[in-house]
Amino acid sequence: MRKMSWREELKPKIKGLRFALWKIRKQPLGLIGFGIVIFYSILAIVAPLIVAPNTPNPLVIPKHVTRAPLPPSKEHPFGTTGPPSYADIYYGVIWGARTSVMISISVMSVTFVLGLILGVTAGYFGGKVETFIMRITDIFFAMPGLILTLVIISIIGKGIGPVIFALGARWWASYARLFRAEVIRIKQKLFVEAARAVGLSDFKIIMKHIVPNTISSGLILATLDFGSVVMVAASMGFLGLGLDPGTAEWGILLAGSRDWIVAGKWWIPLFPGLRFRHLCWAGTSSGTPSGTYSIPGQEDWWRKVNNNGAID
Amino acid sequence: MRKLHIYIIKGFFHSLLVIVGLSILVFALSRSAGDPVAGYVDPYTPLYQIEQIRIKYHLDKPLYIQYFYWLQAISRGDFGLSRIYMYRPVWYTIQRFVPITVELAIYTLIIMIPTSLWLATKSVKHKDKTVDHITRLIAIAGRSMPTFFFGIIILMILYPLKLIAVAPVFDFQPITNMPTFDALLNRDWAGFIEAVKYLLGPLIVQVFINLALTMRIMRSSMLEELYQDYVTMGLAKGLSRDYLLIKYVRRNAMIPFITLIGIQFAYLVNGSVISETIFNRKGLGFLAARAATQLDHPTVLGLALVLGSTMVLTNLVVDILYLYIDPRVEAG
Repeated sequence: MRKMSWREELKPKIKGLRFALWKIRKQPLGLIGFGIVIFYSILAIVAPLIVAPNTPNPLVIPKHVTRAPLPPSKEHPFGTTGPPSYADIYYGVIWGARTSVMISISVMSVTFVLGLILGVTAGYFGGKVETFIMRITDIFFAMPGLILTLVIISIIGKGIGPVIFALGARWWASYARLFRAEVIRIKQKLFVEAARAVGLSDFKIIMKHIVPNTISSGLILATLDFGSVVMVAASMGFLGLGLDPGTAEWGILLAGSRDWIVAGKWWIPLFPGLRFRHLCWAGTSSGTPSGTYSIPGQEDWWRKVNNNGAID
Repeated sequence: MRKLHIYIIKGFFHSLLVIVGLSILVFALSRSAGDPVAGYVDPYTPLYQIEQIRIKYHLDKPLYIQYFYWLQAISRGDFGLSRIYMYRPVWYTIQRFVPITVELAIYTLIIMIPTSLWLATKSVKHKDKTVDHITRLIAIAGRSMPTFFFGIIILMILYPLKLIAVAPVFDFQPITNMPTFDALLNRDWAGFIEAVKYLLGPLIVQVFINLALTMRIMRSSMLEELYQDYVTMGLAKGLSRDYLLIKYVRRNAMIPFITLIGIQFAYLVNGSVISETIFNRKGLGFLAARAATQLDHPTVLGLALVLGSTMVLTNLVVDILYLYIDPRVEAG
């Protein structure tokens, strides 16, 4: 057999990439959303370069004690919140990106891995194992999300670890369900049967054939949930149940200052709120391009489009 | 008909199983939060009585036996004492807070259902035109708007205009414990206006947040119906587009919408924690947030159990209703 050049070898991949780019061009909204998510992730990383970190704990906002909130000025670009939190909003917004992205990424990775393991086990082996795991997810679905998070945090205490744990407990069930459904769909495909006929072990089949084919839909859900996790984490902060008061987090920034906001200090909700809406919206809309990029099999469809020049 | 009955019975047992699981989860959480006897005593309980209470609630026995006694107490409505409300029984406290939340849920649905039907019909009729784009924008805004941010903005705008009452005092006779209905029953018009002001803020927030979902689901479900054969048939017969859309398409698209509304009602009754906290509305969500921040474990866990069970039962009822609304499900 003739040895293929690298160009020929990579041809399907290049086509796939071109398909993804084409698809993204068709959905500019999703691309913008994805860009914003990337922007905030970078912001989270470079936060120390933009605003000098507070010592000793950079996640705690430095206090600016004044009798009333200060409006935006040169010294405090976004103003301050005044009593009782005395926070500098600019610092809170910039470093809050780090807190939010950190929480969101940890929650997503924990739930993703847990959901993948449980969902694949349930879907692949079926029977009693499946019934058991699915009944447990039913229990977690029965509780309204925010209440479950409230309960867990009030029992195990506040702080960044408990918040991640509580949000993970709220989220893993939907991933388990999704992966189970996907595995059941994939399991019936011919290539799985072929792999079994060749004599591959269950573990090999799962790792080599089932997981790579199911992971893409999980990724879509994860990108869609990115914004929701930020939102719920900030809601917990707002209720006074998330991180410790004084931490740079967008919900906490708004929490203590309800009376000032009612009194017409517009800059307090504006800047954290805008940042926040931005990221939540971006999270929800960026699910589309990442999904189209990672779904295998859609490249075929694109090839068809490319060859025939029209979609039928 | 028999198949239907089997389906209902199966659903019932499934719900029961989930509720039992839920109770195990809540029990495990309640036993992991320090000495469980703390949930049954107040600061004025003499020390010698604490041991008696421990024995009365069988807290000196092994855990799995404790679970059954705990279940027995729960079924009597004995969830322990609510620390944040003067050590009244948790069950009593929950009952006190339910009407306020139910009132909000009722008004939200009354406003939301017609609005979302109307907007969905509009956006289907003018698909990809200005109206459709506007409703899509509303939906995106509603879905990605954090509740507390939106609530705070509403509070900031409406409170100075004196359109929102945060802590009203009602002097009429409570009958249903829902302020607006009570005011009407007492013919107290000033009180009614005050009650509406008390309701307005969370109502706006809830309608806006929930409208996004119902509207979009109704729209996509109508669009799906639009490509059915009977629509082509109707058009061929010479029916007008409006007539088809409202009399045929919308009615058929209604089925998923109704189930969605049922589930949303359950969510609304479960309390909108954030909006009730912002507007200081003393409903279940407010109670949950307050109890959680004050580390009042009996109340939080009692609420979790009650709300979770309501949720499961509502889902069951919606499933059964679905069978009756859409006879095709039975055939399939």
